[in-house]
Amino acid sequence: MRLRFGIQKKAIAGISLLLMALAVSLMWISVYQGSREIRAELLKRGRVAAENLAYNAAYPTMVRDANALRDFVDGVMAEKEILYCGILDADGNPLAERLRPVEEMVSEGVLDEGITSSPEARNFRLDAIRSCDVGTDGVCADDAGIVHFRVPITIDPPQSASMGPELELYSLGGDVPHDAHDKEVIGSAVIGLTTHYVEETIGDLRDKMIWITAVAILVAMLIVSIVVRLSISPINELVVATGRIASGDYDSKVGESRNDEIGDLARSFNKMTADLKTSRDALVEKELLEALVVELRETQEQLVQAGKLAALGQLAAGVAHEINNPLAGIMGYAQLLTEKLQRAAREGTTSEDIPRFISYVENMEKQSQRCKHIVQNLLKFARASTQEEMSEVDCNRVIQETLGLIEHQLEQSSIDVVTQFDPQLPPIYGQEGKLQQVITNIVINAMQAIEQRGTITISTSRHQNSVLMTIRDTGVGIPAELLNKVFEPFFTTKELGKGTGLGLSVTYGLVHEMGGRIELESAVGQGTTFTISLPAAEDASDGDAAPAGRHTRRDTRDADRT
Amino acid sequence: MSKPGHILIVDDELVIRSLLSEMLSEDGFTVTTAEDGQAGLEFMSNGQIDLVISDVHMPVMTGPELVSEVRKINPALPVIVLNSIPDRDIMPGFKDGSTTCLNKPFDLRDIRAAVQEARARQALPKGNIANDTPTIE
Repeated sequence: MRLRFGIQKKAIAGISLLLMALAVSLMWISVYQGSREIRAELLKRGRVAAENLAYNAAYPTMVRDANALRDFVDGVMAEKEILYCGILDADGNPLAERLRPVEEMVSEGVLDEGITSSPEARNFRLDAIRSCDVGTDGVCADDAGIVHFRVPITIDPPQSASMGPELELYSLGGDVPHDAHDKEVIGSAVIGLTTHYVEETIGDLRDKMIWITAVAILVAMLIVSIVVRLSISPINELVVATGRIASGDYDSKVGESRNDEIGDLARSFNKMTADLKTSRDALVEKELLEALVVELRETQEQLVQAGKLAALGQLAAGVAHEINNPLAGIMGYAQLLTEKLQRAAREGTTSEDIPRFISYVENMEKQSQRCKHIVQNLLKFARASTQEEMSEVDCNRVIQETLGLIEHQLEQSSIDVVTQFDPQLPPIYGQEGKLQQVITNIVINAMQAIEQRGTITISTSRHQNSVLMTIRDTGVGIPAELLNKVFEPFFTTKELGKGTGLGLSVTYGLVHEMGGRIELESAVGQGTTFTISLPAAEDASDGDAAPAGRHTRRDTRDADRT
Repeated sequence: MSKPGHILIVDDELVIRSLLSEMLSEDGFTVTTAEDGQAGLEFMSNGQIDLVISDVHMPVMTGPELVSEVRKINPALPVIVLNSIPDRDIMPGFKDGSTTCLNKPFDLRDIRAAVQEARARQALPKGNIANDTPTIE
């Protein structure tokens, strides 16, 4: 699994780093400040001690009272931080001095054993302490962590008349350096102060601060991680829910209980999921519908084929009649010609024979042409309607040709067909095979509606941009309650085996496929009128040079052939 | 030889009428043609007809209708019916010996044979002493 560095970890790490930096700097600042103050305090203490010593030692120094000086020095040495204390005369020679034993200092860790164990080193140090250059402020720090204080011991010069000489002698002021030059310096008080204990305290302070900071950081990190986790976990929940949605589970919800931005996010998320579910459902429904439409279209295609077969069955008799007549003519004239030619071969020809033979052959050709047209018509009809290209179609011609296929059936049924064609009828843009099937179906339907004698009137006309074809029969009519059912597949009023119930439903589909409409009016006992409206070819109204040219070409070709 | 008679041809198809009249005239018959049954019946009421050749599917009057009308006038008159839709039995009730049914397209020899046979059948009951009849058998 890939290592993820998620928002939660980023947030925790970021906040923790910030906290750490803050805590460490705070700690550093306080330790720095603390140590500075502690050090300053030490210096102040040392200076005060030195100044006090200088003040107190003024008289004993002046009178060279060694015992008193020693007592002062011992008193000062009571402070454990003070390693050395001495009273020097004006020449720098010690009048009284005490050095903390070296062994003790080493064991206390105040001094490094290696540096200070030898007597030479000890003397050197003492010399160094005594002669330490303290500058104007009387302080000097050496490299071994010892701070030296040297305060001059002064007495006022005997010049004031208002005071007695003794009093003047005892008026001391070693702690006022700026007017020291007004006074007589009779020696100096020297104190060596170790910073060891202070540094120890500072070290302790630092250690404590480090510990406190570390603990504070840990606690803060803990709190941060808990807070972050609490804030982030709904987001994680969202992430998981998103994954579920992505895998198709639109019913998963996230908790909306929180009353903050994440709660808002959860509510938006749930709303989004619901919307998604709605649109997904709509999509699924749409896909289902599309599949149904495809299925319906296929079924309709099958219906068209079935209807076509049914219509072909209806047509078969008419076609047989249509074809058998010219065939009989061809066969008969061929036999007649054969007989005549045989006789002519035997007996020779007369002047009348040749024109007669020619008329026989002409008859045969004419009848063959008829057969050819019938076969062409039939093929056009049988051709799969979906494969047929859209083209400009002359409705009058198609109606005429279609009637040619059915007219003998009509004659046989004692039905008169009346056609009223508009000679100026523009072509439609459609499929001839479909149109032919439409007309066949409606005319056959009309034929079956006429019980004995009757008339079918077919008229064409133009209405705005449409071509209207009206097929009116004088048949039995359709009851009003069945009018809206006649276009339903398999609806038939005929007895079982007579009709498929496909004809008109297929007709309806075909007309709609060509962008047209079909309507019917009917009255029981008076007949039925079907009106088919198909869009006229677009450029039919103006110019229409191309279709005219095509017609001309066809006519020429036919003329050439005959 | 039985003398050629007068044949009435009823068919709405011009080509059938002209073909049959051409052939039968050649064979020595007198031929009259009619476009429909009505016209044929009118002609029959005016003159002597020995044989009728009729189409089945015609306007105005169908073949079977014509046959029934003919039978009303002369029950024994031979009729040859030409059927252009062969799978349909269009002549139920007319299998009476004087009606012959042929399918279109036909063979001229079959027409000739049917005409000869009908003429011979017609001739037999008329003259028992006829000498030429055996040739027809």
